[in-house]
Amino acid sequence: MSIKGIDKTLCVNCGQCYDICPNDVFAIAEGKVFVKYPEDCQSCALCLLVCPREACKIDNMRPTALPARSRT
Amino acid sequence: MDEIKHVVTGDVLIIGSGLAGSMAAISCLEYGQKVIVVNKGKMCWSGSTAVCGGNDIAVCFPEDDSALWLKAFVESSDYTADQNWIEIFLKESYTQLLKLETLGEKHGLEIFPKQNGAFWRINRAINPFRTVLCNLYSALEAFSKELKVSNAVLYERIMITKLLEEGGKITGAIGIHYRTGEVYLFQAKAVVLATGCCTYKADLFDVCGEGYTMAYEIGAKMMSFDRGGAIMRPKDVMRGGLLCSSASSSMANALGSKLVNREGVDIKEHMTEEEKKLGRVGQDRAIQREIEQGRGPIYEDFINLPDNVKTVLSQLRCAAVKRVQLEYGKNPFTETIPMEHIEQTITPDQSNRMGGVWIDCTGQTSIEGLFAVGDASCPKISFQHPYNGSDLGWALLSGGRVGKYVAQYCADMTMNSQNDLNDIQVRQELARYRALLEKKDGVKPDELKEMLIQIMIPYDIHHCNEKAMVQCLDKIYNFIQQDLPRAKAENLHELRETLEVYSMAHVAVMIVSSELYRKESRVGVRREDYPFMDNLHWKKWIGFVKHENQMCFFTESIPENLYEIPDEVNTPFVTRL
Repeated sequence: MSIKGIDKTLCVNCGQCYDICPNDVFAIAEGKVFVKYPEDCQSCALCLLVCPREACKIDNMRPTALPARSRT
Repeated sequence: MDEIKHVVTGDVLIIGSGLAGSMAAISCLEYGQKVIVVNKGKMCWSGSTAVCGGNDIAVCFPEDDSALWLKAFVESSDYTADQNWIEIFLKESYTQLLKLETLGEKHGLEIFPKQNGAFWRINRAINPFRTVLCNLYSALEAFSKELKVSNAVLYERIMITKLLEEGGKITGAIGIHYRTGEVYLFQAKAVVLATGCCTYKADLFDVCGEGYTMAYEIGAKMMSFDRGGAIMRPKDVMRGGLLCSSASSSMANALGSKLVNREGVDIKEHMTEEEKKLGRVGQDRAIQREIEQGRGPIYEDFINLPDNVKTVLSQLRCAAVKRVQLEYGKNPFTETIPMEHIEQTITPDQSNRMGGVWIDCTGQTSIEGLFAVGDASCPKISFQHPYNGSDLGWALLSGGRVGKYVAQYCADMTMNSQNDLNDIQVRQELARYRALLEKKDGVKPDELKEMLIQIMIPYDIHHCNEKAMVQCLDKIYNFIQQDLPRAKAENLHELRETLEVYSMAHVAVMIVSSELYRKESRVGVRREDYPFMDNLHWKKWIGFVKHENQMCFFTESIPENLYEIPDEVNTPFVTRL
């Protein structure tokens, strides 16, 4: 999954995650931040570094699994 | 979308602001240039550097054995390293380190952690020399602060999509702000490409080779895309370790951390001597074997590290540490953390080993006024395996020294005023954006990206032959000719992604075509039809240029002015896969 969402009980809509995300995962509408493109999250966790409330929920899973290929 | 919203003029346009681009910007400012910096993400905070976070950099210290460094670089690149650039690296890399250290001090940031008051240097498993620990988060923060107080003009969230040239001379670039849709025309006497390398969105999602593609399109000489890079990565997780990548895990191992299996046994006890010599690659194999033989999961163990090592690791990898703390509710320095390192796959992934836009010893490409630094350029000092610090060392060196040469170039130049050719190129680019955004039906960029990954991942450069390489190339061309024209972008975000896939596909052609051209095995290429390294006939670099819409290949002899390369057929490989 990578970014699972924003905990809205913690989020203060400061927009720091929107400001720093390299892949434009977040968006802002009517003053509120939300995850618009979760499939583009690369789990860099830069949003976590800047979030004052640790509101971003991220795991290490790929948005889409890669095809398998073994080293022969 | 029908017009250029902003026209920005300066002496030098720097595209990209990671380690290489930011060093280039600071360097150009020192020489009094009017600098424009454009970044695809937040200023300084995107690309490889921002995700890397904290790692170790290859820097030759005055007290080091230069001959050892030279031998290591030349031999472990299967003799393909550029000896002229190695000489420059040996003489100048320490100066660039001190420059960056001073910048950090100016802004109250410790970029290079200290041990007993000295730069903290470590021995990676396969390096015969020591690399120096570097907190890249602090470096990027220092760059960001410095650029903001300088008179550089900064633009972020703009994707540069086309370089502009006239008569073989660079004139600027055009780009689009992918949040506002505003189109920018940048006019400059010189342009510095600091756009990074190309991955296939298997690790870094915003590093897609746009610099390579744009430079190729205007006829720049390109070199050494035949190095056959491929890396084992976990199939289902982004990075197979706490510290953002197993590469960083090997950095942590150099600092004393362990990887232990479910029985608490250090996996090193089950590694062969050969695997221990392979560094990160050997580690990945050992992890895979432990899991396959039922001794998984593997745990990262930082528990018994000295306090100062725990502190420096928590600083260098602060983003990953925070993620793990929140996700697992555990402190990685008091409890072991399972590595999410399940099934592996092999991805074509080339950073420091990849080729790039050819540069001379000043950093200028074959296009007048176009310079390239960092992963965008070639040659680089590089090793057989990634993440031994040489990619970052190259970014530091090449970016840090380019300002002098950009200034020399610009001193003799007058700005070209906007002209008819520029107008044509600009109109074509605007039409390209519009065509993608206004299309009613088509294929979304995520789907196109998946198609390209499905082509590239099965391509096994470690066990290939002409038939397999031609088949792969045919599939890529088919993708470019049949699938890419069906691309549709529903919004500006998808426009960016579509243009990234376009770039990735064209870089794929560069890579496979170059590998096919080399009729031997070398570095990461192992051809079943040409299984030997042939230093009698193939002591050469492979390059190409666009000529009359064709990719035209040539070779250049590898200089051996400092280190003689043995003239023999069937030279033993130094690189190990």
